[in-house]
Parts: sequence; C-alpha cells; structure tokens
Amino acid sequence: MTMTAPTEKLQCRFVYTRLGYSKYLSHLDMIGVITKAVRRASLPYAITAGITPRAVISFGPPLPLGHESLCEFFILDLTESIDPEEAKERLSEELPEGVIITEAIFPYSRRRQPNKGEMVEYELFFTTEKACEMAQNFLCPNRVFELESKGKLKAYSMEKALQSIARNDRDGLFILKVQFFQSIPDAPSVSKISTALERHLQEDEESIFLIRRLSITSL
Amino acid sequence: MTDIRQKISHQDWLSINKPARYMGGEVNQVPSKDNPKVRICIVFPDVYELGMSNLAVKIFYEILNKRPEIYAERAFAPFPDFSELLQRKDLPLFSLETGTPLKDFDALFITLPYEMTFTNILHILDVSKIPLQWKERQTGPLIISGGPSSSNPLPLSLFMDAVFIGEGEEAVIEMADLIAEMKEQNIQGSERRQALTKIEGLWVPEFPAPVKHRIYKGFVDSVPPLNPVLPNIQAVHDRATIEIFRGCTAGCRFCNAGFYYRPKRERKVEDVLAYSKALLENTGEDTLGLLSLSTSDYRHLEKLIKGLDDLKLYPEQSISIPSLRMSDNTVTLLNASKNIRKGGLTFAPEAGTQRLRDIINKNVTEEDIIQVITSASTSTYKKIKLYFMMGLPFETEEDLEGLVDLVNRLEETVRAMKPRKTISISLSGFVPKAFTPFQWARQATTEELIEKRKLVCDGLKRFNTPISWRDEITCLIEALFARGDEKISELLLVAYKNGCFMDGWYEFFSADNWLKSIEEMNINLNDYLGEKSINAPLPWDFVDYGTPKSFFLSEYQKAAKIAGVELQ
Ligand code: SF4
Repeated sequence: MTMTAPTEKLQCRFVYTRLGYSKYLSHLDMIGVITKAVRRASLPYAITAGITPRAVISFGPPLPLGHESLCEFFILDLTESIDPEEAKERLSEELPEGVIITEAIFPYSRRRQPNKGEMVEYELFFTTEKACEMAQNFLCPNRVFELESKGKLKAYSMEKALQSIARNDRDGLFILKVQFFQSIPDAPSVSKISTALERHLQEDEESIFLIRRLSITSL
Repeated sequence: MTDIRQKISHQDWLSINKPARYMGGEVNQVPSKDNPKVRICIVFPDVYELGMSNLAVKIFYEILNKRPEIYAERAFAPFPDFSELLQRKDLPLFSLETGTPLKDFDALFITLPYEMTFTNILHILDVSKIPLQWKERQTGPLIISGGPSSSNPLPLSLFMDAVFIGEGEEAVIEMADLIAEMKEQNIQGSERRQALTKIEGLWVPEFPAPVKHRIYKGFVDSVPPLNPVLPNIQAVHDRATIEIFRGCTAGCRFCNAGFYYRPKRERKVEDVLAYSKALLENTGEDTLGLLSLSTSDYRHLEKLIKGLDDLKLYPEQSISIPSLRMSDNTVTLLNASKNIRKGGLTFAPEAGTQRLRDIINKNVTEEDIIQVITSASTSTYKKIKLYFMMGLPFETEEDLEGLVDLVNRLEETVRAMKPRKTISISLSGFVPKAFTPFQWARQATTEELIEKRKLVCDGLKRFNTPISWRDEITCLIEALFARGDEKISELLLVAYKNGCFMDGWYEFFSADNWLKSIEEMNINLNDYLGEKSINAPLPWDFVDYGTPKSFFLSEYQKAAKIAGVELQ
C-alpha cells in the first residue's frame, strides 16, 4: 500500500489594523484594497481555477462600518514560501492610511473546523462618565432591545452575546472593555448591539466616539 | 489650515452613505507639500466612484503634482445626503487630501465629462460657500472648467472665470504658473480674469473674444498617468486604464468627441506595453483597460494584445477592450487571446437601416453586424448590447421599422446559437451638438421621441428583447446646453435654484423642475432645438475648433443629399 502525504497548503496569516478614517471602509471595499495590495507587493499568491480566476484569500469576520480594529486578519494561499517579516513590510507600504500589517505568520496552518462562532473583545470610548455609566447599564445580560429588520421591529436579547464587561479608564478617557460572543445561535451581532447602544445614548449621541475591536478568538 | 473633516463627528459620518467618498487617504495620494506656491483643486462634478475612473482627473493630478511648487488636490460632488449634512452643520465642501475648504484654494479646475453635471457645478460652488457668478467674485479661487461638453462655453458664461477649450495637458501648467504669479503680486478681480485671456484655449466670459481650440501636440510621446490614486471604494471602472490613442477619424456626423479630439494620434506599441507594465505594478489592478474612442482603429491592436499576453504580471490578469467597431475580424481578434475579459460585447450601430447609417456616416454595413453577431457564436461572450439613436436627422418611420427588423433578425440568429446569446438594446434620443455636421439639425420633440421609442418597443415585443432608454427630457436638456447661449446660462441658474441637481442620476433628475424653469425663463424651445439656418451665424462661431465650419456644412450637405433634401 502506498501512502501519499497530504499536500499541505502554503498559507500566511496576516493581522492588520483598521484605524482612523479607514474604519469607514466597508468589508467589501477592504477585500478589494487588500487584494490589490497583495498584487502590488508581488507576493506569490495562489489563484482559483475557472474562467475568472481570483486570488485565494479568506478574510476574518466583517468589521462593522465605523468600528476601529487592532485584530483584523486574512489568510493568503501561496504558491511558494515567503519571508513573513519581509512580506509584512512590503504589504504595509501598499495599504491606505490607518491599515497597518502588525503580524505575518508563515507557515500557517488553518484548522478547518465547523464555525462555532467567535469571541470578540472591544473597547468603547466615551467623552463623559455619565455616558459611560449609561452604556454599562445598557450592556447587561438581561437587556432586550428592539431594532428594525426588514421593515419590522425585532427584539434581541443580550443574554447569549454578552460575556463580560468592565471599566478600563485611562488617559482621562472613559472606557468600557467588553467581551461578546457572536455568530452563535440567539446572539445579536456586535454591529446590532452597538447600533442599539448608540440609539440608547441618543440624547447625547456624540458621547460615544470610538468603538475598537481588540481581539477575535474562534470558539 | 483647517481640516473640515475634523469638524464632522463619528455619528455624522455614520449617518451618510459611503463616508469613505470624502476622506481621501488612498494609496498613491500625493502627500501635502510644504508651502506650495499655488494650490489647485481638481473638481469632478459627480460622485467619487465616477470621478476616480475619469482619465482627465488622473492626467491633471499627476501633471500638476509633478511640479513641487504646485499642490493639486481632489474634490467630487457631494451626494445629496452629504450635502445636507454639510449644510446642516454649516460646513463648506473640502478637498480629499487635506480637508481644505474649496474656497481657500487659488483655483478650481473643473473637468466636465457630460452636460448633465452642470447643475452639480453650481451646487459644488454653493456648498463651498463660493459665489456662483463670476461677477460676484473679486477674490477667492478662480473657477475654470474644460472638457468636451463645454466646447460651446456659452451655457457656463455666468459662472466661470474662464472655460478651456481643447486638450488641457499643457494649459493646466501654464494656468497654474500664471495663477501663482498673480497670487504673489496680489492681483485680484477683473485684472486677474483678463490675464487669463493670454493663455491659448481659454475663453473668459468677462472679456469675450475669439478663442482657438487647443490640441496637445506632444500626446504621442507623453507619459500617461502611471501612479493614479487608488480608490478606496470600488470605482465604476475597476481597472487600470491606458489611453492607446487619442482622436478618431471615423467622422460620424453626430459625434462631438470625434471632432474635439482630432487629429488621431497613436502611442507606440512599445510605449503602451511599458506603460501598461508600470500601471499594473503601481495599481495592483488585475484588469487593464485599453482606452480610446474607437479601439478597433488602433493600427497595431493585434501586436499590442500579443505583447500584453506576454506581459503577464499577475496570474489572473485580463484585458478589457471597450469601443469596438462591428467588423468581421473583431470577434476573431477578441478570441485570439484568452486574457481578454469576456464580459459582454457592446456595439453602437446607432441606426437601423443602411440609408440612415450612411446619412450619419456610421461606417457599418448590415453584413458587418450580422457577421459580428454570427462569429460571436463561437466565443464565450454571452451578452451583446447594441446602442441605437432615435430622431436622427432625416430619419423616417421606415428607418425605425428597419431598426426593429434588424434587431428581430439578430434575435433569430442568436436564439439559434448553442449556447444561446442574449441581445439587449439601449435607445437614446439624438442630441444635435455644436461643432458637428449636425449642429444645424433639428431635435425631435420629446413627444416625437416618446412616439418613436414606443414604436421600437412595440416592434421588439416579439422576442421580448430587453430595452433601456434615456429619458427624453434629459435629451432635451442636453441639447439646450449643447447649442445654448447666454440665456441658457441663466436657465441653469434658475433650474438650480428650483432644485435641479444630480441630473445624471435617475433618482434625482426632476423633469418637472426643469420644465418649470424653462417656462419661468420664457424660453422658446424651438429657438434652441429647431432646425438652424445654414446661412445664419451660430452663437458659438467665435470658437475656432480646428475643423472649419465649411467642412461641417459640406458634411451636413452630404447627409442631406443622401436623404434627397435641399438644405436652407
Ligand atoms: S467612431 Fe465613435 S468616437 Fe469615432 S466619430 Fe464615430 S461615434 Fe465618434
């Protein structure tokens, strides 16, 4: 009996930031921006088969429009080995303001596993202590909020989504550090929760000025 | 310097659609320069996604910024949601590079791609808090526009400090230098406008004088923009574009662009290949668009395609070739390279019968059309789109019936193909344009155009051919601008005040507001849209277009002769 070793895919995982104005780019636009940057950086990327081949890139969960992030990632399939440090430098030069590659892991082996959701850690920045406290009150497990979905009001419960919440003030800023579960049954997405929170703070809608994703962990 | 973007809160940005349209920060954006002598804002009077695909914007941005003492930035028309936000917050429109209010620039260079953006220009000035009319401006930026849609500059005469007629590559630098000089000497008002008359190709409404259309003679050896700013949000044409030649000698009698960009000038194959390589490297685009008015007429097209095939920078690289002529070798040519993007085939026979195609001098025969469609059967192209005009000079009902017959015959042909291809039709009303042989011709009334369209639509029910058409009132407004005079400039102002804006957008175009404005201005449509006497002077005769009026007339007479009509 002959055994063939499973062909290992060559992959590199890149972690990048979305800071400043780049937080206003949509997930779809980011895919375009990164794909072009990969080409300009001359990375040896693999392409799909078929009449309209595409670079094989898988992106992490979409970042809601307007959220900053320190932990976005994509996994690039390659045709040959690369020096991750050099790739990181080259790629960073090709990205718009606020998008910086912070980590390149090569070789990387993605474990294909069923998507059981993820835990995302966030920091929420407020201009006033009052708003920060209001938000902390709002973000509690027994909170049910309503949002419009397809023209109808739909109720969402925070219970399954909220994992932990704590004050993390520094540099004179009022900050909440929150951990959410998302992409699991019965848990509203962070995007929905942040929209509901912004509405809740409506009387002082400018009081939440920054929502930043810190980390994503697959469950 | 104030960065207006800082004054817009996070919640405000989130309240508008695609906030990235107004933020800049893209790759290849030119960083701010220390103490430039002159600051120019290149303005495109439509949204970011359209403007970022516009070649003129890319050309001027790169030419101007190559000079260290000139800083050129960009601005686009704000979408209505963003205008509303700016007005609510009492903030002026600003540039993408530094967030500087447009009113703080030394000049705005406005590119004019099509007439239906004219109200957007007024809106841009308005939200920038710049007085709309040149008479009201003594200081602040000089407002200068240019582009084929202002070849007859009269409809803009109330607003522009100057209108440029021709190809602007050299003139933008001359203008920037002159503006820098005047800035240093603190020259303002009329004196400043008068100085602009010295630049060839510039027409200054305050000092009206004959003006000569300017050609960029150095085109063939010029380097195209190789480091274009890469849009952060998907542009309409998501590709790198290389202009392979300028001009078109086909001489279609309705076409202004054909005469505007004369003579035909081709870039060398080796140059195009070298530029293409640099462009793909600098943009990371996987598609290269070969741009020109009529790509089939590039003499070395086969050699170029072969060269591009060999120049494979990216594994998924492809070529996109718009503006193809209907001829037998077109599909063979397209099939010859597997790297050519096989989206859809688009052709413009413009008229349905040979008689009418001869009248408009569209050099395509029925055999060509059938042949190109037949040869498409062996290609992977699935969709074929055909453009036709209605209301062309000397058109008769038989011509429209001929159009219907032709399309139905083509439908039969494609339906027999395996795999099947689909045909779709795009209809537009004919717009008589200044500086074309049809500049004297009458435009069909909107009622007539609607009738004609119905006739065609009814005839094409047999195969349920998908048809799209341009709104007939849009064609009317376009004709008013194309053959307008100073009174049309006033109409533009009234229409803007009546709420017309973003007229190129179906969802914002208000036919009612336009018609109301025409009525308020007491405009006799026949003065502008009716047949013009070939013996009377034309309002735009003061522009020397390079092509003499006598040539346009002889071409018009040739067309009339085919129709058996004596011109008055
Ligand atoms: S071929 Fe196209 S660009 Fe050339 S004259 Fe005819 S319509 Fe105009």
